[in-house]
Formats: sequence, C-alpha cells, structure tokens
Amino acid sequence: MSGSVKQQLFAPIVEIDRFADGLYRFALNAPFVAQHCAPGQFVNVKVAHENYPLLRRPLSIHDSDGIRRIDLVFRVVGEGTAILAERRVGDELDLIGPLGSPFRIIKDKRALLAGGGVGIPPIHFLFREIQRRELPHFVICGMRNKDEAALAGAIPYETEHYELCTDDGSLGRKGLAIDPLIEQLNAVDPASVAVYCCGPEPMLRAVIRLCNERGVECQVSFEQQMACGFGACIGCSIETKKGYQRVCTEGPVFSASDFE
Amino acid sequence: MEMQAKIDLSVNIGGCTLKNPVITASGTFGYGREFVDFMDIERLGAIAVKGLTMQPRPGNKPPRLVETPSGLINAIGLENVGIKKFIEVKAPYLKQLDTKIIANISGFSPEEYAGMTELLCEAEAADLIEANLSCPNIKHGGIAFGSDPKMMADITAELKRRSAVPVIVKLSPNVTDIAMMARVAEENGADAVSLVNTFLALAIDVEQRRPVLGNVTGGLSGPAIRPIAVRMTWQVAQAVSIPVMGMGGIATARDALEFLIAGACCVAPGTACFVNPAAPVEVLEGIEDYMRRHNMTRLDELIGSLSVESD
Ligand SMILES: Cc1cc2nc3c(=O)[nH]c(=O)nc-3n(C[C@H](O)[C@H](O)[C@H](O)COP(=O)(O)OP(=O)(O)OC[C@H]3O[C@@H](n4cnc5c(N)ncnc54)[C@H](O)[C@@H]3O)c2cc1C
Ligand SMILES: Cc1cc2nc3c(=O)[nH]c(=O)nc-3n(C[C@H](O)[C@H](O)[C@H](O)COP(=O)(O)O)c2cc1C
Repeated sequence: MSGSVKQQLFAPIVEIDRFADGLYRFALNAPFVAQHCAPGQFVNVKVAHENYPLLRRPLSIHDSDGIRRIDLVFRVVGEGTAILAERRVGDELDLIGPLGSPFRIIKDKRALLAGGGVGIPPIHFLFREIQRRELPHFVICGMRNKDEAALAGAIPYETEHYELCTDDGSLGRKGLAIDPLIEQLNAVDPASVAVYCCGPEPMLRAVIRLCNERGVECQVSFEQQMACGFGACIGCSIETKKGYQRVCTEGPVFSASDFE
Repeated sequence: MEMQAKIDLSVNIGGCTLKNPVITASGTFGYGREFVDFMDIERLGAIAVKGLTMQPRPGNKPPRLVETPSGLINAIGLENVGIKKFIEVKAPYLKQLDTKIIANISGFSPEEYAGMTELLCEAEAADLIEANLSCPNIKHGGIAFGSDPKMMADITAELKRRSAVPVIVKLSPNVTDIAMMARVAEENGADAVSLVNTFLALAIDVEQRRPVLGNVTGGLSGPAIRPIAVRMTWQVAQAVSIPVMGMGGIATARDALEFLIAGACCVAPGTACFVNPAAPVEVLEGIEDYMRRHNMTRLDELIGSLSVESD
C-alpha cells in the first residue's frame, strides 16, 4: 500500500464542508494519492498561485477510498490556510504526495489511537484501516467543543470503543484526551497494546513520556515547518535520540522510544 | 513548413562542457535522487549537490526554516554526510548520470578546502568543484572567507593548485562590492564564479521577542532576492571575463532569462525546486522556447544582451 512513490499533481476539489469556525474538510479527486497512500502520510499543498505564501502547506490525509478520493481536514491558523479556505468545488489543488513514513500497524497488539485537534486526521485514516482489517482497537479524540465533532469523521464516537473529549465539556467527556488514554493503559498489560498518537506538541510529549515510562510500544506523528516535504532541504529536522531526523522523510511518524 | 534551426545550448566552463545552461543550486537539490519522481534529472546541464564538509555535520538546532514575504530564511547548518561518505555512497549514483556533477564544498580552514578538493579529484567524484566561501574562517575570528579579498585570493589560488577539474568560486552577496570580489577570484585563477549565495537575514517572533530560528540568523533566498541577484550578476558579468553562473530567486524561464540577459551563462533555480520540483526542466524548456521565438540559435546571442543605451 505505502511506498516511496510520489507525484506532483492537480487534484480537483469535489466536495467542501465547512463544519465549524475555521475548520474545513476538502474531498479531492486524486487517484494516484488515494491508491498509494497509507495512514500517517501527508500531501504538500500549494495554496497560492503567486509567490506569497511561497512554500507549500503540509496536510495529513484524513481518509482515502483507495481508488480515487482523498479527504483533507484543516484548521485556518494563518495566511496559507486562510487562502486555502477560499477555494471552491471544482478548483484544482496543486499538491505533492503521498509523502512521509506512515504508521506501522502492529497486528498482534490492541491499537490505542489518540488524536487531538487537527492531529485527528491521520488518526482517523489509521482508524479506517484498522477497522477494515478488523483489528481490536480503542480510539480517543480530543477537540475544543461540540462544533468540531466532524473532526472525528467516521469514528463512531458514541459507541463503546471510542471516547471523545472536549475542552469545554460540550460533547463527550470534559478534559484532555490523555486522561482516557491513561485509564486504558491502567486496565491492560502494557505489552498487549500499541499506542498511535497525533496532536499538539504538548500532547505528543505527554504521551511519549507516559508510554516510555510504562514500556508501551508507541508511535507519534510530529509537525515541523518544512520547505520541500520530500527530503531535499533538510529543514524540518527535529531532535531525536538518533540525532536530527527529518519530519518529512524519517517522519512524520516516529517511535516514542526515539525521544526522552 | 520552415525548418527549425537547431538550437545550441551548450556552455563551456573551464573546459567542461555542459549540454545546456540550466543547473541546480547547491543545497536545494539534495543529492539529485530526491527529484527523480518529478523530472528526468539527466536533462539538466549540471547538478550541484548539497554542500559538503570534511567531517559529517549534524546541522543546526531547529527550527531551521522560516518563510518571509516571497522568501525563505534557512539555517540548515550544512548538515551533510561528510566528504568521504559522499564519495563512497552518493557519488557512484551521480557519476553514472548523463549530466555534469558540481561538488559544492565548504571549509572552516584553507586546509579543509584543499583536502576536500584532493579527495574529490582522486576519486573522480565531480566534474566541477564549487567553493562555497560563505563559511566562517575559524582560525581568523570567524570572518567569512568570501567577505575578505585576501582570504578569497588565497583559497582560490590554493584550490586551483590542487584541483584537476574546473573551479567555481561561489560569491557571497554579503559584501560591499561583489564585482571586486569576483575580480579577485578571476585574478587568482577561478574558472568561473557563481552568484548569489543567500543574504544574511533575521526573523523575529515579536510575541516572544526571540529569534524564530534556532541559529538566530539565517540566509534569505527565493523570489524576494531576485532583483538584487540580477543586479549583482550584471555588475559581475561586466567586471570579469570568466563565465558567470547566476542564481537567486529563479522560478521560471522568464526569471532565468533576466540572468542570462544580464550576463550569466548558466542559471540555477534554487528555492523554487522546493515548491515546484520540476522547475529546472520547465526553465530549460522555456529558454528554448524563447530562443526559438527570437530566432536565436546559440546561447551567446542571449548572454549579456542587455542594452542600457537609450535609443
Ligand atoms: C506532516 C504534517 C501534517 C499536518 N497535517 C495537518 C492537518 O491534517 N490539518 C491541519 O489543519 N494542519 C496540519 N498540519 C499543520 C499545517 O501544515 C499548518 O497549520 C499550516 O502549514 C499553517 O499554514 P498557515 O500559512 O496557515 O500558517 P502560518 O502563517 O505558517 O502560521 C500562522 C501561525 O500559526 C501557527 N501554526 C502553524 N502551524 C500550526 C498548527 N498546526 N496549529 C496551530 N498553529 C499553527 C504558526 O506558528 C503561526 O504563529 C500539518 C503539519 C505537518 C508538518
Ligand atoms: C535550504 C538551502 C540550503 C542551501 N545550502 C547551500 C549549500 O550547502 N552550499 C551553497 O553554496 N549554497 C547553499 N544554498 C544557497 C543556494 O545554492 C542559492 O545560492 C541561494 O539559495 C539563492 O538561490 P535561490 O533564491 O534560487 O534559492 C542553500 C540555499 C537554501 C535555500
């Protein structure tokens, strides 16, 4: 499914859903990406036609039908994402993908998935894959409030294998996604589960510490400013125990054991 | 139908013939391989690889990049595998490509430049050597080699003594008189000069009142610097008679034509390759198209054709 294949291509937008203030889901017709991507990978999108903003913006793949369609979900945080949000159905997005190293699904361990905010997209795609393979799992999503529920996409968060947390308690449980994760880990043998996480950096750091302390196998997806997204500029490096590693190539998914 | 005259795009750099004037800018094209999914890299006149140093370098503390209006400030810190590993691991792939390879070297002492040149020549790992003189001379108070005429003269002369292949001196734009620096390189035997390297820059996070980059300062590249780079290329081309290789914000054929018309004989899209990885090939096709439209058959008709006389 995954590999190092990538292309630069123009993908028409087939559907746009503005589901909360500043949150968008774009469905794209991008067969090459849909057929070659795996959960945890991203596409690098040219948002402006001109030179400003100059660099592409990386966005995780939220979903793929494996044939032609991919979904992206993003939050407007600055100029680049604001320009992207002005696109209409039928417009073509200039993108490069699929990029990055995906999550490695550990088949013989129960999967504990945790996503926070716009870190949910890669977790959503991973959930779809794990569900398709009928592997045991538990999914936790954390977000600001009930308006953002669509971040969870197809995750049936009202059922027993799922937990949704909001900062204000307007939907699901009030509080951070890390709390139900700790409860899950408390209830099981650490060797029997694998944690997969993407979210804001403080969440990643907390999950890394938690899993490393307990000896739980864990993969985390990081973000960093990047120029190319395909390994040429060496600009998106982060510090790991193995030295500097590129988020775009060795990552975005890293093993928690690579960090203190 | 009229027969199309064949266009000769070849360029001679110190005895090394490039099949066309489109090359890549060091540090923006990895080791070449990163781009094979996007274009046929053998169509390029030459590939300048990521800057090499004597010892492997881990690079600078992140963040290493920040975007500014139509520009990019980078402080990668010359992260690279080191010259020996380059020769062992990366060069064999590059060598079998049907394009010329420019090894870009950075040293922290004159001895390092000399040593790397010898290693590259012994291994026949490069067709051309480009000396990045924007590095600090550790032994002399950290002044960049390329900002001091005496140091530039010494290094250029030393490189020429050691090198079996043509030597390109890469000029830093962070000097008062870049044309004078180009003349120093020429007088000391450089086969060509390339310009510009990045402009020393600083971006500040105003909320934190801290530098954005881990390294505090970095080098500005991209479309934002292009008009300055064109002006410098024009000044240098008038000051020297060796070939001038132009770069600085080239993203399209139109951009590249400015440099050629200003007097450059080669053009290198740099930062543009991060955004549009097929940019070099598009630039090449655009130059050919332009020459056809203007009935030009040789690159000489284009290079340095800027007319500043009033009619
Ligand atoms: C591998 C990878 C995958 C990503 N996937 C997604 C995704 O699926 N959905 C999504 O919405 N975003 C995702 N991001 C983040 C996204 O790329 C950035 O939000 C985007 O580049 C910001 O561009 P901008 O021009 O709008 O903001 P900029 O002008 O670049 O930044 C504006 C401000 O927002 C801050 N900022 C930057 N990124 C973020 C962020 N992620 N969250 C909050 N503030 C930020 C900046 O520090 C700055 O202060 C991903 C990033 C990476 C590296
Ligand atoms: C990320 C990055 C890394 C670079 N690394 C090198 C290098 O190792 N050696 C060098 O001589 N120039 C290096 N440069 C400078 C470029 O080769 C080029 O001179 C400069 O970026 C101007 O061209 P541009 O505006 O098209 O990028 C680097 C530039 C960038 C953006």
